[in-house]
Amino acid sequence: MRKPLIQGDLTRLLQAAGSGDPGAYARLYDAVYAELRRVAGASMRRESAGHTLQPTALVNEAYLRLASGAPGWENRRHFFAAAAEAMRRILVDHARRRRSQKRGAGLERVTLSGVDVPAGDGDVDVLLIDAALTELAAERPRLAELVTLRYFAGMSIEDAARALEISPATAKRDWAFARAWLAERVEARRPT
Amino acid sequence: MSLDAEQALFDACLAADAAGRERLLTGCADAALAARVRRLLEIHEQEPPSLSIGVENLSPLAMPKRIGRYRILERIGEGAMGDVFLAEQQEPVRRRVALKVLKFGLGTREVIARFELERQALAVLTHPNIAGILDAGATEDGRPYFAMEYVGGIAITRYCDERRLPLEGRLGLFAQVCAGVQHAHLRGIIHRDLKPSNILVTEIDGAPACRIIDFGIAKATTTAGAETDAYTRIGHVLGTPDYMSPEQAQLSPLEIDARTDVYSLGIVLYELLTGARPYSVTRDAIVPETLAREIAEAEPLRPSLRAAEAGADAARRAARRGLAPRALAQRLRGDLDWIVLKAIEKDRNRRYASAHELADDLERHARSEAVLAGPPSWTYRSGRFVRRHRFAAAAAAGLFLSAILFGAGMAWLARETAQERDRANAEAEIAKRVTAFTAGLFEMANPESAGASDVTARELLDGGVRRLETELLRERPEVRAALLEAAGSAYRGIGEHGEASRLIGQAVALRRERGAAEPLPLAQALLAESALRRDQGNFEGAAELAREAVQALERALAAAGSGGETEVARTLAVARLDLAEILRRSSALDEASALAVKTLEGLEKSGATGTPEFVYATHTLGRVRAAQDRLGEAEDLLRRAHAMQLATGGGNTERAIETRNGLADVLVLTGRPAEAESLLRQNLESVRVVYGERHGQYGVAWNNLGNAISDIPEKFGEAEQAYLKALEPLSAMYGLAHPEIATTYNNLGALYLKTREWQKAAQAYQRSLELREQLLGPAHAYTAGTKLGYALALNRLGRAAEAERLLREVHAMLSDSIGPAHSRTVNAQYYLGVILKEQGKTAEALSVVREARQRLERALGADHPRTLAAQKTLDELEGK
Repeated sequence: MRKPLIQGDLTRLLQAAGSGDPGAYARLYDAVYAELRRVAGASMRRESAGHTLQPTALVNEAYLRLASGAPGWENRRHFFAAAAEAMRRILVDHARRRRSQKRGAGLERVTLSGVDVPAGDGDVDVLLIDAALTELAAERPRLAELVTLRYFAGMSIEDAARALEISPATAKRDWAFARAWLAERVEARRPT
Repeated sequence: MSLDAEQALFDACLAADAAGRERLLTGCADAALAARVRRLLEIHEQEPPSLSIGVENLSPLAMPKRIGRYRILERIGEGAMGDVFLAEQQEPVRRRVALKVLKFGLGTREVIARFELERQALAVLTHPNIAGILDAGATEDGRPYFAMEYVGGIAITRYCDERRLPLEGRLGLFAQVCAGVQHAHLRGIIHRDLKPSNILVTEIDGAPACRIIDFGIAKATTTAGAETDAYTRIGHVLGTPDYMSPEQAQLSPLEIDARTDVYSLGIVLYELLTGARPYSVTRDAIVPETLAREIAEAEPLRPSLRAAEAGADAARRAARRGLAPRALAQRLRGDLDWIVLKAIEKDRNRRYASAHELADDLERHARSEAVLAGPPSWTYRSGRFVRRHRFAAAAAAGLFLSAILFGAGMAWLARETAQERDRANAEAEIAKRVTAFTAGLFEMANPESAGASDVTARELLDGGVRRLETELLRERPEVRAALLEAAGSAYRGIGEHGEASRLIGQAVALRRERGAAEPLPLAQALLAESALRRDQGNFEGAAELAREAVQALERALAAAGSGGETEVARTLAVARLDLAEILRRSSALDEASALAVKTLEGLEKSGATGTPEFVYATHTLGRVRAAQDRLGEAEDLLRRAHAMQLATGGGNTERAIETRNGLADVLVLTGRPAEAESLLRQNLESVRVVYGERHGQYGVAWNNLGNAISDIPEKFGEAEQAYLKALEPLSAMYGLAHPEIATTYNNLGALYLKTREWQKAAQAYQRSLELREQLLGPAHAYTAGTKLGYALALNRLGRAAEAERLLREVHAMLSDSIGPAHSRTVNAQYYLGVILKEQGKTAEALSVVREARQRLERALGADHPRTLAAQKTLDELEGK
């Protein structure tokens, strides 16, 4: 089992990623992923079922605990970029797992042993959004990245614009278009 | 098609005005591209729905640090609409505010737009009894919020009870509330959601002061017009429907006006005065139709009568007002009764026109002047009664006829069994009297009110009972007993258990006085009362009465010697089978089985095969075998019973319907739901023919159909519909509180657990639990079962502490009633363990689950899925 990340480690990783070390981003991603899983697991236990995770809140929580001591915009940007990707993966894995449980459930009687986060159409949406995002990324990676930052890490337009090195006005236009485009795609594919 | 081209056109359109946009789109050479962009623009205008749903499902977890220009200090409330935070505003002035952050899905843009429309009006609300709204906006993740003056008070009802305020103090506070509401009404603002939790009391220099909060919020969050369905309106806007006016609850609501607030004020006043609400409203929005009907039809109990109710609860409520229940009732009787009832009139034209008028009438009462309100006229009330009871009354007509026949039959029976000459004369006299009496009823029922025959039948019953209890008081006890029993059974038939119980109880008392001399009528009366108790779910009482009947008949038969009276023997068979049926339902299966076997064998020996009693015996033994898990035998017996019923032309009888229910149960248990479903659909048709679509039995049939298909995931939707359909005739016939209604809500809850709709599950279970606690008592096994389901739903909703507390209660209750080793008790114990485990209370979880596992193994075997599940949980706890 991975030991919990401590603040100093993360600061070093962030700095390495910032200085262009190609392996550093991957290590940062792994570290943030593990940390988010841990925070998410703890929250699930604490909040029990019925309350689902709010990804942006989790990312913020992880950031405040781990990285708020790390100075500089660059660090923040790398952290959130990694966290958004990690969050996306966590949610998608989670939704897939739960969907397969539901399929296999059959005549299952109500028991508590499988207590998890609740089901709902949220699963379908997460998976559909993920698929649509992948599609979008193939044609317009910048739009997909923007959506990932906003949607899974809760970044503001301004921060996302800085992270992607575009103007806030462009980010705003991109966001409006991407959101409508994704919604249309998800709506079209949603099982009825 | 390139996304770049799409976005370019999309961006251009967004930047253009409406006319420019249209030019761009129509001028586009690529028609497909234009169409796609049109669609995207549409989605953009509506706020992309699917994305917001995706986020909606991810409800708040961490407390935000900051919302808009407010710094969040703490969470002070969580409601149906969202969360309330205490926050601090730093600029332009530093002050504390309450921030109400709404849930997702309420359409942020719309909410804020509607709020903006009201903003100017709200700005002029400056009144000491109103907490003003300061601001509205959207959080970063797109949820609407409202900022309002922070009031650190507590709900008015709680304040009054905690301070044990006498009525004068309560009325004084209520006058402040009226003043605040009136201030808003004069400025054209309706609150729409007045309830105690929106009326807070703080103390200023030791004197209590009311502040009404949330003015303007309900309006902003209620979508106008037809596009909102009732679910949304009831579910989203109001946490509780208890204070909702009939016009708000309507499926197509009228324009709301000041009188809507008057109604809510009336309910609050009722609660302040009595400590209870005028009627209980289903605490859910599962069936808006039902809710609308309940609110429109529930007849409020007069405050003074509510106060005069018997019981510790009423005494406690009165004590909080510094009075004994009788003194409180005395104080409320008259003016205050009429004032409250006028405020909560269903027809808003009959209500006070304004809060001011209501306050004035209270003021007049305080000065001992004549009040505007007065008792409603009799014609008005009876008109309301007829409207409410139309369906029940139609059923009563048929039942009453059979009750009359039953009464006449009793007299005939008495004559048949009479042995002495003078007694025969006496019985003939009884028969004559009974006939005269019933004929008298029909004379009474010869009204000018043509076309209202269904209604008069019910009134007949009421009129007959009045006569029984007055004019006929000096009648012979046998006559009165026969009539009381007949009338009681008729009331039982229309689900009026209270009245039925009173009348049959009197009949039994009369029969008991002469029990030794006339065992048969005594037994009949006892069986009637037993059937009533069974209907009420009181199996213990039902069994006791049936037992008494059995014993009386056994004694009579023994006294008569061999070849004794056939009528007594037949009634004894029925009494034993009734008893067996009750014992089966209270899970005393060994005794039930012994009784059924004994009866069946006795009937076979005496050559009574093919009689109705023999069919009943076959049916009863079949159901007992099913309960004993001897499903093969059960199926065989029930099929035989059913074949005999069909052969004797009795496919559409109450008993045949019961037999099909039993058979369907067996089929479900043995994995043949399709056949069960077809039988139950047949039943539905039989019930419709026999009882009609408005009869409670029709509801029971839908409920049973729901049960049969509720295990088939593809049919969950159908099962839900079946349960909802069950509720309609049940509540039409039985009113709001009946064991069958509780059963259907319970099953609905179980279904929602399967579909993982935790909120709905909790609501359905809660409703069932309230009814079962009230009707069956808190210690009943059914009540415990419902509480278990409720706890599971609450746990899924994150209310683990409550779930834990409930499960502890369930476990204790079942340990007491059916013993700690019973599989159902152990089941509850296991769930308790699981919830403890989830909460990280590992040590206790370990000991609870370990014991549960052992007991499950003993009760169900080591390979049973439940045992295995417990083992798995245990392994996890032990860290294996």
